[in-house]
Amino acid sequence: MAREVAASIAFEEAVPPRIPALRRALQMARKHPLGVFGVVVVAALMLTGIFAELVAPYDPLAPNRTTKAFAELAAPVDAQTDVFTVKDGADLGYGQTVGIDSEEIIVLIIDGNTITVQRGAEHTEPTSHDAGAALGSSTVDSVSGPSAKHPFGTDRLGRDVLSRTIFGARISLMIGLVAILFGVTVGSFLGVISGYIGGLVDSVIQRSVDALLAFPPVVLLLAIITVIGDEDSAVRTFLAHHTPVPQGTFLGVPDFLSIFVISLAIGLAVVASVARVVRGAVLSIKENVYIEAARAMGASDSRIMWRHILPNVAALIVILASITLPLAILAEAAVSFLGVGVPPPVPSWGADMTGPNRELALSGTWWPVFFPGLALSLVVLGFNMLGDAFRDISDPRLRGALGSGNGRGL
Amino acid sequence: MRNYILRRLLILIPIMLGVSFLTFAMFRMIPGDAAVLRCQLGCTPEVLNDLRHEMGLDRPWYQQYGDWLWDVGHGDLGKSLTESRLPVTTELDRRLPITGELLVMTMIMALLLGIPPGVISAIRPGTPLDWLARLGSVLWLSIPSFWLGILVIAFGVSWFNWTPPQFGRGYVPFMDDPWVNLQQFFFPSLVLALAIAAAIMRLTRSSLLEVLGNDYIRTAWSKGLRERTVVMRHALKNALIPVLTIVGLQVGALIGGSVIIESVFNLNGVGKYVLEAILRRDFFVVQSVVLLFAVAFVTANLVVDILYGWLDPRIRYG
Repeated sequence: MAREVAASIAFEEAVPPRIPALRRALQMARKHPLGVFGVVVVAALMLTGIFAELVAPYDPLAPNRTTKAFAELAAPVDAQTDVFTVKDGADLGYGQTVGIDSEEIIVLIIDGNTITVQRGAEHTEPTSHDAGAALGSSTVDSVSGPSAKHPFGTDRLGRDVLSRTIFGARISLMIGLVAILFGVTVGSFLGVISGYIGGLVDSVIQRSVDALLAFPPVVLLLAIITVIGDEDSAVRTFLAHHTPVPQGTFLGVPDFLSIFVISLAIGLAVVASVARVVRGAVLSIKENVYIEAARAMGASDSRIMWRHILPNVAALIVILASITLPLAILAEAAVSFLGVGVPPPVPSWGADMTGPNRELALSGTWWPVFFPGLALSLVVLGFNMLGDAFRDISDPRLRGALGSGNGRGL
Repeated sequence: MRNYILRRLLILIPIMLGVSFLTFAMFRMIPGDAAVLRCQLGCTPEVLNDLRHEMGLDRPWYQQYGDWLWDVGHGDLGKSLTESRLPVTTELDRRLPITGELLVMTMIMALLLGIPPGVISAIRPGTPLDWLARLGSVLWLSIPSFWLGILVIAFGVSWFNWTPPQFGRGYVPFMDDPWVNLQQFFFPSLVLALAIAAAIMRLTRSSLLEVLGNDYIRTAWSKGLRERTVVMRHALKNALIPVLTIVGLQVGALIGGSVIIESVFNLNGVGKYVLEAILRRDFFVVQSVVLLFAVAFVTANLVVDILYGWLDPRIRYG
C-alpha cells in the first residue's frame, strides 16, 4: 500500500505542470507557422466541400450564364456556307459552343475573324442548315476571362469556373475520405493478420504485396479503375443492387455510384503499402510481454489481434491515413485528368484540367485549367505542411526525413 | 556478393510471375473484352466469335496465360489485340528510346535540383537560403505534374509563341538533331523531376545534418580542414546513402509519372502506349509492358543495393 502511494506521488511529480490547452495550442502555432497554414487550408477545403451550395455563386453544371444571342455577335459570310465573320466589337474567344437543342452541340471554331461550324457529334458534316439554325434560335455561351461577375472566368460551356472549383473541393474531399477509409481499413486488417499470424498466411499476403508494389502506382490505379469502374463490372453491379450506395445524385454529387467506385479503386491501390507498414509495426508489438500475458490468460488470437495489438498500431494508422489522404486526392485528379476518373459533367479538379479545357489552355485561354489546378496544389500543399508540422511535433527525429505528399509520380 | 546478386535475381522470378498473373487476372475480370470493343457497329455474335478466335480469347484462361508466359520466356512479348496486330516488341523498339531518354533526363535533373540545395540548406541551417530551399521543396512536392505541364505549354504558346516540337513533328532522336531533341525533353523532364528533386532535397538535408553531427566530422574540423573538404569528402558520401534508397524507390514513381507526362507533352513513349492499351483493354500489351516496368523497378532497386556496398564498405550482403 505504502509503495503504491509512493509510486503514484513519484508519477505525479514526473508530469510536467499543466498548461491550458488553448495556450499550448497557441505556443505550438507560433512554433509551426507553416503547420497553421496547413490547418487553415485543410479547414477551408472541408468547409467549402461541405457548404459548396452556400459558397458557390452559380450552379457548377449550368451553362448559359453569360449568354448572348449569336446573331448579335456574328454574321454569315454568305447564306449557303457555314463560315461567319465576327461583328465589330464582339468579343469572342476560342471554341465557342452553340446549343441548337439539348441533344446537339454545335462547336464554332473561331480563328481570327472567321467562324467555322462543327457538329459536336463526330462523322457528321455541318451544313448550312446548322449554321442557320445556330444563327436563328440559339445563344452563345462565351468563354470569358476573369471579371467581377466571374472572378475565375467561365469555361467552354459558359460555366462559372469559381463555382466548379468550389464543387470540385467536395468531390476531392469525398473521394479522398472514402478511399482512405476503405484502403486504410483493409490494409490495416491485412497487415495485422499478416504480422500476427505469420507462417503461410503471412507469406501469401506479403508476396501479393510485393507484386502490387512492383507496379508503378499510376499504372496499378489505372488498371484497377478499368476493371471495377466498367459499366457492367461485378463490383459496380453488386454495389448498385445489393448495397445502399445511391445511384443518382447524392449529397449534391451527380452519378454518385461512379464516384464511389473510383474511391474504392483508389483505396485498393493504397492497401498494399498500408498492409506492409502495419505488418512491420505488428511484428515488433507482438513480442511485447503484455501480449504474452494476454495469451497466458487464455485470450483468443482474434481477441489479441483486435483488442491488444490494433490499439497499439492505431497512432501509426492515423499517421498513415494523414499521409495518404493528399495522395488519394492527387490520384483522383490524375485519373480524372487521364480521362478514366470522374465522368464529365461532374465538377472535378482533375477532369476540368483535361479535354476541351486543356485544348482551350493550349490556345491561351488559361483560366478554366489554371484555377482547379491551383486549388488542387494548395490543398496538397496544406496537407503536406500539416503533415510536416505534425511529424515535427510528434517525433523530432523525423524532421523532414519522411518524403511526404507527392513523390509518387503524380 | 555474387551469391547475393544471384539470390536477388531469383527473387525476381516469383515477383514477375505475380505481377503478370495479377495483371492477367484483373483484365480477365472486365466484362467487355477487346473483341467487343473492336466490333461495335453491326456486330453479329458470329463475327464476335470469329474475332475472339482470331485473338485467341476463346481458349481457357490457363492456356492463354501459359502460352503468353511461354512466348515471353522466348523473347516474344505478344501482339496487340487491336486491328493493327502489331507485335509489342516492334512498338517497344520505337517507344523505349523516348521513355528511356525521358527517365534518364528526369533523374539527372532531379539529382541536380535536389542534392545541391539539400547540401546548402544543411550546412547553413536557419538561414534564408535554407528557408528558401525548404519552402521550394514543399512547393514542388505539392504541385501536380500534369497541371504544371499544361501551364508550361499554355504559357509557352501565349507568351513566347513556343510549342514543344513534338506536337508538330514527332520524336527527333538525339543523334539526328541534338538541339531539337533537348527542346523536346527539357520541359517534360523538368516537370516530372520537381517532385522527386524535392524528396531528394529533403532527405539530403536531414541526412547530411545528421552526419555533420558525428564525431569524425568534428575530428575533420579540428584537423583544420576547409569546409569544402569536410562537407564534400567526409560528410556527403555517407549522407548520400539514404538518398540512394529514395532514388531507387522513386523509379517506380517515375515510371508512373511518365504515363501522365507523356500524355501531357505528347511524347509517344511506353507510358502513352500502356495508357492507350489499358483504355482499349488490349491486355497482352498491358501485361507485357507492366512486366517490363516491374523488371525495371526491381532491377533499379537491386542496383541501388549493390551501390550501397560501394558507398559504405561496412555494409555486408547477408
